[in-house]
Amino acid sequence: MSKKMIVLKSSEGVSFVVEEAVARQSKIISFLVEEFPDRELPLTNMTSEILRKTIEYCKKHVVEDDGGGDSSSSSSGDLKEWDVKFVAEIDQPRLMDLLMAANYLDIPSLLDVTCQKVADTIAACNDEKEIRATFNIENDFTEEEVEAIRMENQYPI
Amino acid sequence: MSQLVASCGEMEPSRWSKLPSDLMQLVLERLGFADFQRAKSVCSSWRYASRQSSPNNQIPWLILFPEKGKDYCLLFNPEEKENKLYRIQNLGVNFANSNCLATYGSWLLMQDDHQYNILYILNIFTCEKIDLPSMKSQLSVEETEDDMFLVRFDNNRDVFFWFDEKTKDYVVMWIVQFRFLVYSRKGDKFWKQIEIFDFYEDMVYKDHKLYMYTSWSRDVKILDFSQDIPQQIFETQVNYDDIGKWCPNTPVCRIKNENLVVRVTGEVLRVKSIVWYNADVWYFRIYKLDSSNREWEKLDSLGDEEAIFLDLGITVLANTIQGVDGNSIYFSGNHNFYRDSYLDHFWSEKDIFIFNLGTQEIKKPHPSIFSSIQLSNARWFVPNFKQM
Repeated sequence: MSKKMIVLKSSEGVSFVVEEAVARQSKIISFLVEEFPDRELPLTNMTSEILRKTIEYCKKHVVEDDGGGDSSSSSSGDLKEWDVKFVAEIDQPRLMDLLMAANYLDIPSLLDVTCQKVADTIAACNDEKEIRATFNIENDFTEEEVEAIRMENQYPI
Repeated sequence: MSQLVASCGEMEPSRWSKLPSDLMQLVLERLGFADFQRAKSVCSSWRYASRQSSPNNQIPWLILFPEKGKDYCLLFNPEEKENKLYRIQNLGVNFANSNCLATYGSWLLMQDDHQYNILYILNIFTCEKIDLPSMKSQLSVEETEDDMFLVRFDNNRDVFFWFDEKTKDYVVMWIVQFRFLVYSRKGDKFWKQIEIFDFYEDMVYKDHKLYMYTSWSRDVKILDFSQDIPQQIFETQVNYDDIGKWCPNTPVCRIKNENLVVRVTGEVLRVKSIVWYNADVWYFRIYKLDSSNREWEKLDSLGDEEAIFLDLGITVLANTIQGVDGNSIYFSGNHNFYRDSYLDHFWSEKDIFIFNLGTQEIKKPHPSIFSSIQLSNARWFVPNFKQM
């Protein structure tokens, strides 16, 4: 039996043909597929690169439900390991895009791993300066705010 | 939902600072306290996002209240090597003139120092404040001779407080004159009351059920609070208690307290604390309710995986949390029911303790903190505590 395919179109107009089960991990796509069957779904605010990454993730996480006793489906331990590798390979700017894509498409598990990756990156920094450098963020605090922050972080007495 | 902005190939400066606030909150909530503090010091938009979220911490900290008249409190995370103290400030004029009666998760139950009928609950991370109905005009317990709510409830054990972060449901309960349960839930404009018909000892709350231990009959009663009118759904009469066997009624020995604790597993424990009058010596006995023969069965050990936080009525899994000793009881000087003047020189509500059930030894951790700051109150505090 052939699997039902759907077409997702990136902001650059590139079409991606994806198995429905794969795409349905996105609650938004799942909803759209039901509302507009047999239609190409334009994702105008997702680049091809991010869409490709998102599909890669969804392919790995699709639950095989064809009942064929597919013993090769990944165990949860393997999947976790795969997730860690998946986000480790993504650079900072794309991580943010992917996080926002996960939120936009409503894919809770992808949102979870990307948020966790950001949190882990923050946690690996020794101080706020290092966080700013890592994420390329400007310190935009006023002097008063700097003083307020200083007050919040009392050092050993 | 946040809008997805068009992505660009190169990273422009401060792009991460433009991460929508609701998504930044998802990130911040995964950070431990120290990292959370660092992250909110990065830029103004992250700082803004931090106001709507609390750090992820199952780690018990200490919450320290300075002398009266200050609008801040201090948090101490025992896990951090540098012994850093964090100041949570601008908690409001009310805070400066209030006393903390109980905590649940990131929420504090506060009572005005001068007008004791003024009560509110406050999230110390988001500064969200919920005023509770005034106790003065809206409650009439007929037996009261004086206006009981002008009497200061120093006795913290008589108040219990529960808060659900998700639904923002809460319930605050008091025991008045040992036999009236007075409570207020989310949406209530008045305090309501139930007569207990026994001498109340302690209570805990879980899954909308109130577990109450009464000392006269040594019963555990369970009241279901999921309905409009709480119903008693369970009562067990306990047949046996070994009180006399190990604590002869001598002048030096005193049962200080009996507390109920809900374990991580949902099982209810009774914890009896005993103190020697002539010394700062504590003993604890722990009992598990055996439902088959309705007896309190003595437990010699909690196991290395579990620790009790007595003031909060909970246990935590010590093996998953660095820095928490298993088989131990964490409590504070607030846990001092009788307010014996005999014992005042041994401890007060400014003190905190850890009792090890294995070695039977008690310690006052982090003495350097306590010797260096003037405090009015100190408690164990589990900011992100969620019942399983």
